[in-house]
Amino acid sequence: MQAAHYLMFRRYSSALRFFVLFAIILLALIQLQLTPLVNGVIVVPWTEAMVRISAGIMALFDSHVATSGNNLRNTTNGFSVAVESGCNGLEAAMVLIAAMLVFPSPWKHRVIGVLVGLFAVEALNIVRIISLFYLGQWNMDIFHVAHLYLWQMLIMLDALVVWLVWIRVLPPQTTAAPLVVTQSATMA
Amino acid sequence: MTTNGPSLWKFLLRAFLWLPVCFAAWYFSAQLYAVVIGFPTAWLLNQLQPGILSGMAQRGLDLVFVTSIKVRLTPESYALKTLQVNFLIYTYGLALFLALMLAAHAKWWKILIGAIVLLPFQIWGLAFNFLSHLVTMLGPNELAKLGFLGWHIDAISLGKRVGDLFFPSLIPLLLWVGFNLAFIGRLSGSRTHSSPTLTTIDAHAVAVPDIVASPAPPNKSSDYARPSTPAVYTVTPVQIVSVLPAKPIAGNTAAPPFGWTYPS
Repeated sequence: MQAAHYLMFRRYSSALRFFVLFAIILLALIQLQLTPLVNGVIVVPWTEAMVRISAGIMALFDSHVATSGNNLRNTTNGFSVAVESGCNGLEAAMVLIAAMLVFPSPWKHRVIGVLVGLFAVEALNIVRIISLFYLGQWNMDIFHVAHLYLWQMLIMLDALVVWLVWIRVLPPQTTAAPLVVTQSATMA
Repeated sequence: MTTNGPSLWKFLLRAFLWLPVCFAAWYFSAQLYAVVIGFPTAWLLNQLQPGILSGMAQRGLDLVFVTSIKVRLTPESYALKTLQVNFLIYTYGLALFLALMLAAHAKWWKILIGAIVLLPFQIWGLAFNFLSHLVTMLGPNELAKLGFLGWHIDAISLGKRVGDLFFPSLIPLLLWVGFNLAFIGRLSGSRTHSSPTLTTIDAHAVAVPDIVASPAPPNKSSDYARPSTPAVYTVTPVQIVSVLPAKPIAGNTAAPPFGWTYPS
């Protein structure tokens, strides 16, 4: 029974450490993102790049799309959307980065995971921008539901999926685990 | 590749199938949440700023907070300022949480606890939304009269950002992770233990263990499928002095009986 409690303690103390470190890193990233320097150097250019990439993809099948800064506009009917901070996928990316940094794994795999994760989150974010652009021209009620609730969920769910897949493909642990099985292990 | 780890893909498929069902259920019952989070939010705001609210009403999917801030219309009459907030943007995480937990075959009491734990975060979002609107609506003089300092306004801005962009969708995920540590532990260990490579150590080179259990209890804390090959180990927490080259125990392919671990 004592060992069972020990196992339980190890599991939950590891998990607690994960959650605490995750919260600290995420809060630090949020604060960093809000600083004028990071906002000007990373967030705004990133958001505008998202808009340009989305417009570039839409230009393949729609010739009535124009961009201006963080605005995406239909040149025929005048409908436009502004991609603001919060709609650029950086929040989900920050969550993913924090989760990958905190989860025990080799640094090489953390870096690869962060890069692949960023790509996955931003790729889905581009789908979000494009879908919302057309949903808004079709039906504003559905646009609001998709914008305010549905896509918010899906983007964060995307981050979770990437994180779980990343954990799945991590190499076997090479660090010393706190529990080992001695040669006296017996099979039931 | 892995043969005995938990099925991530089946879980994800179930989650994506449950999501539209849960989203629809949440959306069409959304009006009910106005009471659940509206009253606690109003109570909290009145605790933070006594007398700031004089009433609350529901208008469709919006909550209308009636403040006690007066606007004089004529010398004889005045009106009370109101703030309208869409409370659904703080509650959609419930649908996400339900979908994930149902996909994980979670027990009902875990779902209930999770739904209750979500409430304070939803109230946080709604309260900071109100405060943020209040800061925008009032001028510096009025804010100073209410006791708002400069750092209060910065804190409100950060609180709203976190409450709007992170809590609604992040907390459900964290709750799901918290309820499924064993699954994630097995997920991370599934490749490690996909081949029979349980490490053996030199019994002479270890410190005397202070805790010994035989046999180790099966993992009961998971809602997930158990390892296909039941096994009982003698588990001994020890301090490793030296480790011999890994030597597999034939036929032992069970997942580790613990979650993830940090290097000591």
